[in-house]
Amino acid sequence: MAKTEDAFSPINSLPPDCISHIISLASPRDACMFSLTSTAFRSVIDTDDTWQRFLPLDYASILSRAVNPVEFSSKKDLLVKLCKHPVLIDGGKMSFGLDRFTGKKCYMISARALDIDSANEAPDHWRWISSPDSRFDDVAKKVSRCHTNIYGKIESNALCRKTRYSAYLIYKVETLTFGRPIRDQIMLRTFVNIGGHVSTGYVCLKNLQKYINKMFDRFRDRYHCTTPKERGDGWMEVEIGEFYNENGEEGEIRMGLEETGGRTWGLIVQGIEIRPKH
Amino acid sequence: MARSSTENMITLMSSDGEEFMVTEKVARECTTIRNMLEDDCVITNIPLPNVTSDILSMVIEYCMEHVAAAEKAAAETAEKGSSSAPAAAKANKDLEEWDKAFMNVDVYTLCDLILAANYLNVSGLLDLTIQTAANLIKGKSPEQIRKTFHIQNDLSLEEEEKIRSQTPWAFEKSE
Repeated sequence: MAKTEDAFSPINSLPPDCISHIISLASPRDACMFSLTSTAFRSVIDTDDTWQRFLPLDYASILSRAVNPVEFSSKKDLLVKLCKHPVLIDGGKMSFGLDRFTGKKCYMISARALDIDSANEAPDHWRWISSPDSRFDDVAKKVSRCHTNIYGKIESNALCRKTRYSAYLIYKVETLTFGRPIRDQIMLRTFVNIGGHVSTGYVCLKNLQKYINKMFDRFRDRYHCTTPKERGDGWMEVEIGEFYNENGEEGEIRMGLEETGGRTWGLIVQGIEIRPKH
Repeated sequence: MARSSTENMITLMSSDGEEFMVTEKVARECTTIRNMLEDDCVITNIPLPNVTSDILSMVIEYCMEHVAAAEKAAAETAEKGSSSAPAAAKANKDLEEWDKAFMNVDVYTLCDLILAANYLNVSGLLDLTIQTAANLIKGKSPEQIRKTFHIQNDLSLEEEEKIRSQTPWAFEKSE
């Protein structure tokens, strides 16, 4: 440990595996930033050893469930792909990807794998349609005024440990030319059940500020009401709830939305996404 | 810090020739030294040519604090027959606070500590220093990282553009 000179970065004195270790505790995004600091660090970062550390330990077994084989030239290439384009697994009923800010596992449970008001048995309430901007083959569209209940589940050991996750409903609200569009005051009761610990809340599916201001105040005070966001991929999302996955030993984590008020005609559901909470 | 008189003392010698007398228990916190002691139990004087006295004194300070905390916890458990959860949680929190204050160092010292912790194989200190360094990188731009770690940028604009174009998602803003 020679005394470092001012012009010399102290990081230069560290062995590559220490630098890789440091970066692995940051994030894939931070690794990209770090690789832009100098040629020396770029060559340390751009190694399979560094990028492997961001991949989940069981990535190979998850990828073996992929619908189409995932090809990659390096661990970095794989990670970049998984951050950017989630892959379809389990016969196309689920997607798997990585969170670019944390490198942690993300899933989306497709509408087909959700329990939506017994959509399969009651085709008059829900219809399966294809949607070009969905990652799945088809999405569920509601074509009746029945009450909507949507349930999903995921095994806690499929998720990263010691991580706070959130579940989101990924949906659209169609502007109808006939029938009645989703009324503004549509509100759904939500729950997340992890190991018997249940947290509940309320969401609204339309983000109408004026409505929220005018009519929602009374609800907002009483219930913790969550409002939706545009995703930038043509879909909306609203947070169903969050949970902390301690050791992945909680068994099945269940989550859902249940209609309390208005009617959700025109609701299109792509799925429920489970990703780390930032 | 009360010590039983029967405890073995070990002398650690830094690269600049300074000697540090520590108990064997403290020295054993360093896996590298523990392995030396296990190989040769009569050894009492260990030269550490890779560690300066400044850094070695900090490593010893860290090991002493953590040995003392472990001893205190063990003593409390022995006294009460079982450890009380709130007391243990408080002790853990105190130790965390101590670690945090201990990590209030400049990046040169931090990197020297990483090297020393790596060389001496002090796993707790290595985790702590590596995590601290990671925290200094998290969420920063390349320019901010260079500033923090005094890194000279030798990438050309073209190279920089090329790297950026490989992972454009990394440079989009977080929500």
